[in-house]
Amino acid sequence: MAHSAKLELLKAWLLTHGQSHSVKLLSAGETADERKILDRIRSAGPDREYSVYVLVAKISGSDVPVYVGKTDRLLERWRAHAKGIKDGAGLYSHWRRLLLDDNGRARYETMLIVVPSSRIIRPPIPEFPTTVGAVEYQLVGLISEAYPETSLNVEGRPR
Amino acid sequence: MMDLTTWLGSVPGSRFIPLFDSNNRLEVATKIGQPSGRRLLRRHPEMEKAIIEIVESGLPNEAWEGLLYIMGFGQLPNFRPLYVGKAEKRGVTRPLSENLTNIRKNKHMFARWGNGLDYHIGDLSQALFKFKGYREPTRKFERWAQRLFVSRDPPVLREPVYLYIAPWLKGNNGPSGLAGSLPAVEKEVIALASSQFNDTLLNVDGV
Repeated sequence: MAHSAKLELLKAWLLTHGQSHSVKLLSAGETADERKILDRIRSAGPDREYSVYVLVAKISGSDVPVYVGKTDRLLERWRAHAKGIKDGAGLYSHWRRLLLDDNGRARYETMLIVVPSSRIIRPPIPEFPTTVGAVEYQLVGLISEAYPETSLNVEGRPR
Repeated sequence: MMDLTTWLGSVPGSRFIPLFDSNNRLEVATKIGQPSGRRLLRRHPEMEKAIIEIVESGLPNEAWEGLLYIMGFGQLPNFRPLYVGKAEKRGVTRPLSENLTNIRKNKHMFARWGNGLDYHIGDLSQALFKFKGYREPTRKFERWAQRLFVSRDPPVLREPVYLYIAPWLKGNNGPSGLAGSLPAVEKEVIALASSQFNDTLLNVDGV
C-alpha cells in the first residue's frame, strides 16, 4: 500500500518536473565518456543556480530514479560523478556496477533531470516544503522505498 | 503544510526527556571520563534510562528498526528541533549495530549519544573543552556548542534541551501519512524541520 503510494508520488513529481528540465546523458551501449557527459549537462540548465538533480535510468522499459543530489555547481559536481562512474572507485563502485557493463558501456539509457530552485512547482509529498534540500530528502526517502534495489543514495537506504 | 510537532506527539511510544544533567541555572554537570581523562558532559539519568528501556524492549522485536531522535529546545507544543538523527538496529556490516549492543554498559557509543569521539556527547564535549583526540573538534560540533550553550566553562545552556525519542517499528507511518522505514522517515522529518524550524535546525543536509 505505502510502497505503491510512494511510487505514485515519485512518478507524479518526476513527470511534472522532468519533461522540461531533463537531458539525455548516455544511450544504452554508449561508452561513458566524461567530456561527452559534461557537454550534454551544459545544455541542461543554469550551472550556478541551486538545484535538485535526479539521475534516471531506463531499466526494463521503466524510468527508474537511481540517484538524487543537490548542488549550486552542477558541472563541478557532475565532473566528479562522471569520473566516478567511469573509474568505479570507492562509493562509485555501486554506480559503475549498476550503470556500466564490463566494457565500460552504458547498460541503460540514462537521463538527468535538473530542477533549479525557482522551477520547483510542488513538493514530492503533499503538504511538504519545496526548498531544494527538503525536496532532495523527500525524493531520497521515496526512492529508497520505491526502488530499494537500485538506489545509489547511501543515506535513506534501509540496511 | 503538515505540522511536524503534531506528528511527533502521535508516534506510539515516543517520549520527551531532558538530555543533559543540569541544575536550575541550566549549568550542565560534567565528569572526567576514565581512562581517557577527558572532561565530559553528563547525560540526564532519565535520558539514559529511556534509551536503555527503548533499546532493550525493542531488540527482541523483529519489527523494531531502531529509534528516531530529535534534540531540541523546550517540549511540545513549543518544541523547537535542533538536530534530527536515528540509531538503526542493523549495522552497516553486522546484523546488530554496535551502537546498540550491550546498551547498559555501552557508554562509549550509547545509541549515538555516547562519550566517545564520533558520538554526540563525546564530540560536543570536545568542542566545549578542547581535549585532545585522534582529531581536532569538528565544525559540526562547534556549531552545536554555539547553539546550545551560552557559556562553556561552566557549561550553561541557553534553554532547557530535551531529547525526543521514538521507537520505530516496521509499518509505522511517517509525517507523510505513509508507512516508512526508519531512514526514510528520518528524511521526511528533516525535510519538514528544515522548513518549519529553519532558524534552529543544525542538520545541514536536507535543508
